[in-house]
Amino acid sequence: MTLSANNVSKSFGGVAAVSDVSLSLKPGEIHGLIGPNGSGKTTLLNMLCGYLPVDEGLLTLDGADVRGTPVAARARMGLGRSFQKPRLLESLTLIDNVMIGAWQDHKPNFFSSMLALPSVAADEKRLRARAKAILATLGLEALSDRRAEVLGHAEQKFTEIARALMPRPRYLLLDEPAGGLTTQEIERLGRIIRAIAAAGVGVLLVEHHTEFVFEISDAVTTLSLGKVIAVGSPAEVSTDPEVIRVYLGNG
Amino acid sequence: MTGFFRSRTQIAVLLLSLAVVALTPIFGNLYHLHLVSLIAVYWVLISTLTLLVGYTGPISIGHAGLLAIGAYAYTILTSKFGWNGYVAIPSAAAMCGLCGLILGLPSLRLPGFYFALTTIAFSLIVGENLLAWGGLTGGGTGLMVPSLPGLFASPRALYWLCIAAAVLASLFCYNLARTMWGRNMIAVRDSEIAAQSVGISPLRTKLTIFMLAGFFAGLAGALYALLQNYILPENFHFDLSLFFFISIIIGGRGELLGPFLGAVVLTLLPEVMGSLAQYATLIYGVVLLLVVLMLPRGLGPMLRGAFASNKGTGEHAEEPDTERLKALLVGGKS
Amino acid sequence: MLAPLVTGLALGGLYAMTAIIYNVMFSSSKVLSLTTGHMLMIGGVAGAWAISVLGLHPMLGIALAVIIGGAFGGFTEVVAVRRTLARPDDHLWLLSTLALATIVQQCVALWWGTEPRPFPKLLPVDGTGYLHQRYWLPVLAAILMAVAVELFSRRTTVGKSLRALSEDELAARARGMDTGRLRLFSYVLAGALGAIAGLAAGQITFAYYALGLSLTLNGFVALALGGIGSNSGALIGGLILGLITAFGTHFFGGEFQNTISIGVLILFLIIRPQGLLGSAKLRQV
Repeated sequence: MTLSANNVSKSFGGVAAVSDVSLSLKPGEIHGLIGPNGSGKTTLLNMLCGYLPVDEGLLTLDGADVRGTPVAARARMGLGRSFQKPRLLESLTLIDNVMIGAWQDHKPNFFSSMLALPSVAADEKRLRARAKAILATLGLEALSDRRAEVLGHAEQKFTEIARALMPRPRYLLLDEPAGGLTTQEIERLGRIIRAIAAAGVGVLLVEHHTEFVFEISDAVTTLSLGKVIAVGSPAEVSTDPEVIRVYLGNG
Repeated sequence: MTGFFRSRTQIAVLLLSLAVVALTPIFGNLYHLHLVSLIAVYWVLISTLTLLVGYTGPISIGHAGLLAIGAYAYTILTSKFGWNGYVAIPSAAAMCGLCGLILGLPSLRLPGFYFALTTIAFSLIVGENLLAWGGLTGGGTGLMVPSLPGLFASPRALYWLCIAAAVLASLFCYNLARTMWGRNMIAVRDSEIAAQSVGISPLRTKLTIFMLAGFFAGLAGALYALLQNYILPENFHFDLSLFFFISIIIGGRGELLGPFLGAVVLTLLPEVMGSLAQYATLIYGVVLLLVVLMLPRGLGPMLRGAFASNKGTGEHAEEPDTERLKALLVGGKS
Repeated sequence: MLAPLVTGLALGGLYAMTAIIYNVMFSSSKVLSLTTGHMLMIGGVAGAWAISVLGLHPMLGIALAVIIGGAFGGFTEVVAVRRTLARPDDHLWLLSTLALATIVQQCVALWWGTEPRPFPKLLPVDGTGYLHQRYWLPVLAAILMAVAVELFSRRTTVGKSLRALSEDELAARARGMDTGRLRLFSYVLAGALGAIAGLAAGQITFAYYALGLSLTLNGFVALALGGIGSNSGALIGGLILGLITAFGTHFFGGEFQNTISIGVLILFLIIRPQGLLGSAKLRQV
């Protein structure tokens, strides 16, 4: 049972953004995805989630072919993600932002909600408790009732992760979660990601902070110009000459 | 959450409304009864339209067309086909619900501006067809509306029926807004991409709310027809669509109280202005412009009083509790 | 069959000009102003007022109407567009231009009246029946306008700057262009062109306050049909819409004018939102 891309390719207007890339994410594994700008990381990520269709190749989630499955359906199959630029609902509070993450777990249907049947209040309570718990574990509980727009950058990023964790996904795709974070915040992020993986969630970490990636990943894939140039353990990849030449070398 | 009881302003408005509703039949004359009934009926439409435009997002400016369909459907079913009024009301509402669904379909394919103009076109097309199919609709001369038989035949009883409909609509909207559906709608409005990533289907949300808004517009239409006794195509001029839409924008998107007050004020405006009523639409336009330029969030946030952002204790994030996090996530989806 | 053809062409010219004017404003601001149709309406009403009511010579009347139109265009930019550009995704400009359009329409209705009033003959040219200038003036004006706008955007400095701005605003600003003034200019130009279009078509539309909304809608359908940003698309889209409207009215009666023309074409747009000549990647408007 994995989240896998097998020999996937995608072109935009004749230019290949991703060429023949394969990647496999196992539950409980932290898999780093690195590469210079324009290497195809975001395109691959968007294909895995379903925001972009695959031109060639295969995408499977726990054995099922998901190439034609819409984003929302893949989310319901256990795929969660955070975004590079946080996409929070600014006019709502932090806890509301996190609670929406469990949309697929909420039981009452439209009519029950409209009629405010007792099951609705019970469900609200249940999900609110879960949201508070997750926020507490991330250290954000005190900010629960603040509107998302007044939160700082790091808090917004962590809130997105909290939202993605609400339905207890099997796979979590993080898009540059360390971007704009201080060293202390990155260290916190690292501990959080390790805890998530230790619980059995497969984490794909798309990142530019290569030190951070090598430190916490179990495996790393490096992309350059749409192709995979190195796959392996952090030790292997960080010393790979091609990777150094294309990405790590300057500095 | 965007609920009602967050401030004293809201409680005050609610009590004031209840007072007006209770006292009008006692101290007011038929004109006052009619006016309050009209506000109630407009609110039946505007409340669910608020869920659509204010919460879910699509800019839909043609709902006088839906009101017209509801009104004419009720009138035609009762006067031309002899249906019982009590059956015709929900039937008209259901028909309008379907029309609402159809109206919403283009929003799935067309970008915002395109869709907005489609809704304007819808309003004009409905008006055009009301005039054209004269045999059915009475054309420019309009139709006489039969009263409800039995219990609700009198203006006083009709008043209570309208109030009941308004209360029902308010409750439904309030219930939806303060639960997961409320968050769902706002997610679809503010970030479809994020919404999809948590398993929301924006398509299903939009179509559901379009149908809901259509259904209640149809209900409002039937009640409107009963109130007016006589309906003409010009009752449903595009200016009325503008009025509904502007109440919501002025009141604030993501709010229920603001649009309610907006609806009350804008309904009363022509009545209060007397001979200056011809300036009503002009004033709506000016107010809309002022609100958009100066208070893009509408008046709602001001009315809600204390902002939620001032609640909560600590200022900064605390240390993560990784053991507890792990425990929470173990045994997730299988 | 000659009647709907000639009327259709005239209407087509009118719609095409409206679409071109949409393009002019869109190029500098990425805004589709709901006041577009009203720019034509104001031109027609101002022209009728100047020539018929004030008794001015047609040339003077035209000049005055163009000035008023240009001023209204500039006013639209300053009041409704400038301050709503900060968050384009909120579609605030849609609401502000809707508000301004409502205000203008109501003011004209209150001042000029709600009945369509006759529009005077503009050119000292005689023609009877289908050769009357009311039929060929809109077509001629549309073609001239399309050509003029194209030449302007390719040959003049300002025009080229506008094209650069429409393609990449950030780059244009980085190159030192005053995007604010360019935008204001493009709106004033749009207003002036709108007045010209309203004057050219006045003899077939009459001076009528409700024209604004109708043209905003029809002009947009023509624009979307041809593809936003394309002036040749505007001409083609306008022509198609005009002919469909005229022939639809001819065969089914004028009572279904909006239903046939707009209804049919909106169905087309749902299938192909980018229009006939637009690129497949539809900009999120």
